[in-house]
Amino acid sequence: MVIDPYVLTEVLTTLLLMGALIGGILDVIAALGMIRFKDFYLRLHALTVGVIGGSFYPLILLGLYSMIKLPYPSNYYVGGIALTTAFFILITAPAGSHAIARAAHRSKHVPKPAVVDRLREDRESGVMN
Amino acid sequence: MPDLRTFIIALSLITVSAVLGYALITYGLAPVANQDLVKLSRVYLGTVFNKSSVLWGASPEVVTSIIWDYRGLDTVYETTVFFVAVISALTLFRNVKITPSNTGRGVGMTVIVKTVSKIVFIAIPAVAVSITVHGHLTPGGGFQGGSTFSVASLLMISVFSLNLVVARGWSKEKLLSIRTLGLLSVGFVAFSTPLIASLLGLKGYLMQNLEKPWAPVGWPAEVSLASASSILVSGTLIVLNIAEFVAVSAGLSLIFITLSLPTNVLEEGGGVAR
Repeated sequence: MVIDPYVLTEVLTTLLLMGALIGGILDVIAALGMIRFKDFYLRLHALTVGVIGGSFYPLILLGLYSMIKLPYPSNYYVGGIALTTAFFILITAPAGSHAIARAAHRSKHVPKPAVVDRLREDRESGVMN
Repeated sequence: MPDLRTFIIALSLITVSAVLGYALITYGLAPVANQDLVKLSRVYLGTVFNKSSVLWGASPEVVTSIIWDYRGLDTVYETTVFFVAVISALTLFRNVKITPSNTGRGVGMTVIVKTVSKIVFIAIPAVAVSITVHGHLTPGGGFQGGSTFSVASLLMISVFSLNLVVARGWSKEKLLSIRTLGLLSVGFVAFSTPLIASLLGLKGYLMQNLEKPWAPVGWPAEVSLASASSILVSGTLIVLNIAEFVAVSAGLSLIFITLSLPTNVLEEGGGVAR
C-alpha cells in the first residue's frame, strides 16, 4: 500500500497541533492548581506542571510543526528557535523551582502537617548550611 | 467548595486562553484595518523602504532607520539622558568602594543552580549580541541588546554572589570607562560625516547616514567581503547599535552591581547618618 505523502503530512501536522492543544489544557490545569492548592510546596508542583507541560512539550511540537509546514527559509528559523527555547526551558525550570523551594525553606516556611524535616535537622546540627 | 472568586478567576483564565488560541488558529480575531494603505504608511514605504528613493534608509527594519537616521539626534539625546541618569545614580553612592573585601561572602546558590546558570551564561550574551548586530534587519537594536546583556550580570550577581563578580574585575572604573567609550563612539559617528565633508569642502549633515545627491559624504550601505555577495550593514545604523549596546550593557551592569551592595557599605560610602 502506498501512502500519499500529502495525506501523511496533513495527519502528522494535525497530530502535532492536537498535542500542542494538550499543552494549553495543562496550562489551565496548572493555573487552577496555583489557585487551589493548599500550601507553597504543592503550588510549586503546579508551577512546574505549567512550565514543562504547558511550555516545553508544546514548543517541541510547534517547532516540528513549523519545520514541516512553513516555507523554506522561515521553517528552520522558527523551528530552530522553538527547539532552542524548549531546551533552555527544560534546563532552567528545575533549577528555578529548586531555587524557589530552597528560598522558601530557608525562610522557615514549613507546611502545617509537616512531620519530618530532615533538612532542618541537618541544618541545626551543622551538617550542612 | 470553590467560592465565587475562584470560579471567576478560573473562568477568566479559560476565556483568555480560548480567545488567544482562537486568534492563533484564525490569524487574528477580526480584520484589523482597511487593507488599503493609509497615507502615512504610503509616505514611509515610498521613502524609507524604497531603494530608488533619495531618502532610502538602507534598512529593512523601518523603526531602526527612523530612530537612528531620520530622528537620530533625538536618539542621541535619549542616550545622553540615560548616561546622565547613570551618572546621577552613581553620584548618590560616590564614595562607595566596590572591592572584593566589602561585598559580602562569596557563597552564591547551590550547585544545581550554578551548573544550569553556567549553560545559560553562554546563551544570554550570544542572544544580546545577535539582537544588537541584527538591529538593522530585525526588531531590536543596541538598547534592547544591552538590556539583555545586563540580565546576565544581574543573574551572575544573584547566582554566583557579588563578591565573585567584583573579584573577576568588574570594577566601577572599568565599567564606567566602557560606558563612556560607547557614548564617545556614538558622538564620533554623529560628527564624522560633517567633519569629513567640511574638510572636503562639501555639504554634510550631523548624524548623516547614507550619501545624498546634494551631500555626497556618507557611510556605506553595503560592505562586500571576500565572498561574492555583499552584506547589508545600513551605513551608520550597525555602528550606532554596537556603540549603544556597549554603553547600555556597561551602564546597567554597573547600576546593578552598585544596588546589590550590602546596606552597611552603601550607608558608609554614601555618607548617610545612621
